[in-house]
Amino acid sequence: MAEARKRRPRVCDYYQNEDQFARGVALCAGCALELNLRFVSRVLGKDVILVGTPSCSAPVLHGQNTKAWHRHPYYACVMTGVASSATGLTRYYEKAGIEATVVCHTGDGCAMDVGFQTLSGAAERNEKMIYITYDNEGYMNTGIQQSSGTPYGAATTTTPLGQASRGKSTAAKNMPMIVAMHDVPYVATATLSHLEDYAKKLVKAKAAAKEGFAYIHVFCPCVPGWRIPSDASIQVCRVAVRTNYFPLWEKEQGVWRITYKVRDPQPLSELTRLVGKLRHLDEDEVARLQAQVDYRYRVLEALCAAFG
Amino acid sequence: MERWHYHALQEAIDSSTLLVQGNRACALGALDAGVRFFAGYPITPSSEIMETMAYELPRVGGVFLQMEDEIASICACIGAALTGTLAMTATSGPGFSLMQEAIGYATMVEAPLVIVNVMRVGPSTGRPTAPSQGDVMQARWGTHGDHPAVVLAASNVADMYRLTMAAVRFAQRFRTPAILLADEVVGHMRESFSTELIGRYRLTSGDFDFTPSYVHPEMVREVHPPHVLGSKTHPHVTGLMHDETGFPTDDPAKSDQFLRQLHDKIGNHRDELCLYDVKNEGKGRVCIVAYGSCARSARAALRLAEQEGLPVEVLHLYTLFPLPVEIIQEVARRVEFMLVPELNLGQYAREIRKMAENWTTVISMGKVDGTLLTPREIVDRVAELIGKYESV
Repeated sequence: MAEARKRRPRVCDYYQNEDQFARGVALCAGCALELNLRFVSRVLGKDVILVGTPSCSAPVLHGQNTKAWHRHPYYACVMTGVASSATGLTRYYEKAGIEATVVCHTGDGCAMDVGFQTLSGAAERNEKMIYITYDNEGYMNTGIQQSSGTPYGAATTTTPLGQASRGKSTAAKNMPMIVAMHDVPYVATATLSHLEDYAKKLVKAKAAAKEGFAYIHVFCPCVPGWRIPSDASIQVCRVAVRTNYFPLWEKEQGVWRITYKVRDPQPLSELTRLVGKLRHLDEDEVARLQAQVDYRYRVLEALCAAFG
Repeated sequence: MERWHYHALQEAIDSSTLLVQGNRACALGALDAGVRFFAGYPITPSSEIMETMAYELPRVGGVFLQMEDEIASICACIGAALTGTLAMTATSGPGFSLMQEAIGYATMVEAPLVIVNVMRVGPSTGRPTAPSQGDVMQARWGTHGDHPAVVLAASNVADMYRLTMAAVRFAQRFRTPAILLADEVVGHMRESFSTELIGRYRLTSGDFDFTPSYVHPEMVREVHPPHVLGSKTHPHVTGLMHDETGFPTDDPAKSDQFLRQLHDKIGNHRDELCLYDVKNEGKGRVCIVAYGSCARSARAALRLAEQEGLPVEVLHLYTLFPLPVEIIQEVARRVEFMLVPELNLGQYAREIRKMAENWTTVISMGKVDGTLLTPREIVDRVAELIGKYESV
């Protein structure tokens, strides 16, 4: 009787299989990307074909020397053409009648900068694939340079703090919104502090990818790049959601919905206090960042209200 | 001298040597030559050049841009060059491949810019943290069409400094993109660096003039008058075949003349462009012809060979293209073998063979395992060559 009682599904209920990754992998201590990789692989199932590129995930996904760190089929393609390389796979699978889920897994630099053109092209053609962007707000693997995902004010090695520079002077691209404007079947944002929410979105994306392009944008803090303690990455994810810095939402078949509504959003200073790369921001700068965050949230709310 | 000490340590000091990374030395050379525009994209093993520029350029009133990819980086540099400044970008193999179309465009519109390629093992992603010299022929023939090329090769930290300066000078003087090749070891290596090490080819601020539409007086007859955008004239800049007015032309005679002029302005100045060193001149039966990090091994091999009584001379090439025909043929006439150690499968050895095979035997010594050639390997090969000759 107890089993028949309806209960909220727990995270582990979404797991399709055991962990496909080795126990110790070559990522930094406290890296949120590791959790993301293991989680995506467990929820989407072991039969997905991963398509990736040189990035932070490369040491693990590409493998080293003779051994890979995982059991997934993996296609490490050029950085400029992840979505188009995956298109080659999906189009031929479709023609040959092969059931396969192709998952592109890249960082924000690839998705928002160098691979943006092919990502946009694949979305426009509505290719049947899942594209997951783990957004650590910069090129962390090459030494913490800024990307289009780096927020206003963040200090990186190419937007340094100094006499003539106070970190990045422009805002980050609102990437999930940009992809949503391609009118693809499914777009969502997710993060690692809200794993049930993430799991549901992955399941929906897998279903949506049978008919077209599904995109998930994952907020994924970087311990050395953001200068946060190695035990703080999940806390940073949570604060990013609670400050509306990274709102959790989805757009499914044209319907917009905020999947985790924050009742009483915290001020952004809660986040800038935690994150080393933003800690230097003065009151005015935090206010400017707060205004950007508020504006984006209002746009999102308006879209949810109009097309919810 | 004081200036780069200032850059390196952000304060003036009088110590005669510093420990500087190759990539950093490259950026310091560019800054000291007066480069005030840099656009780049992160890639191992060249990112430190961009990072140094990100720190230093805003301070000196320059423009630093991180672009969305390498195509955007070089196109931003061409744009800057067309306003009359001199721009620079730095990358590695995969990014260099992306830049190729724009390199041809820059050559066609005679935009002065410097492209640094810190080579890593390729093709494709290859081995990002291992040295290679696999992009030598790509630097020469990577972009399509018949085009001239100015390609330099750095072998140590001091070279990264002075050859960057030289590249800036050549780009500005000949109004063409100049490519500086380094490799992962040269780029990432830290070594002591002083004025003594800079030695020959040291340039001073008098060697550079970044006035818009500047043409060096000696080059007036060979370089087309630059069209400077934003100079209140209405210039026309195009990658189509054009004449000196900048407007496209289908006229076969004009088209032929234009392309030949592009080549001639480089080819007629080989004496100025071709930088090299000859060690143990005229005393060798074998000449080791080397460039980049292999030249370091070759110089060390020379010392070993002297200890072992092997007659060796070393031709260290700093300029790969235009081809240093005169010095290669001069050396070829007096040695029995030319040994070309390089970190590829004989790309440059083939060029040397074409120039020297009438007079000597050119032996390629390629290595592509991502490690450097050791002096011992080179000396063993020299001994083998001489031994074979003796036994015949």
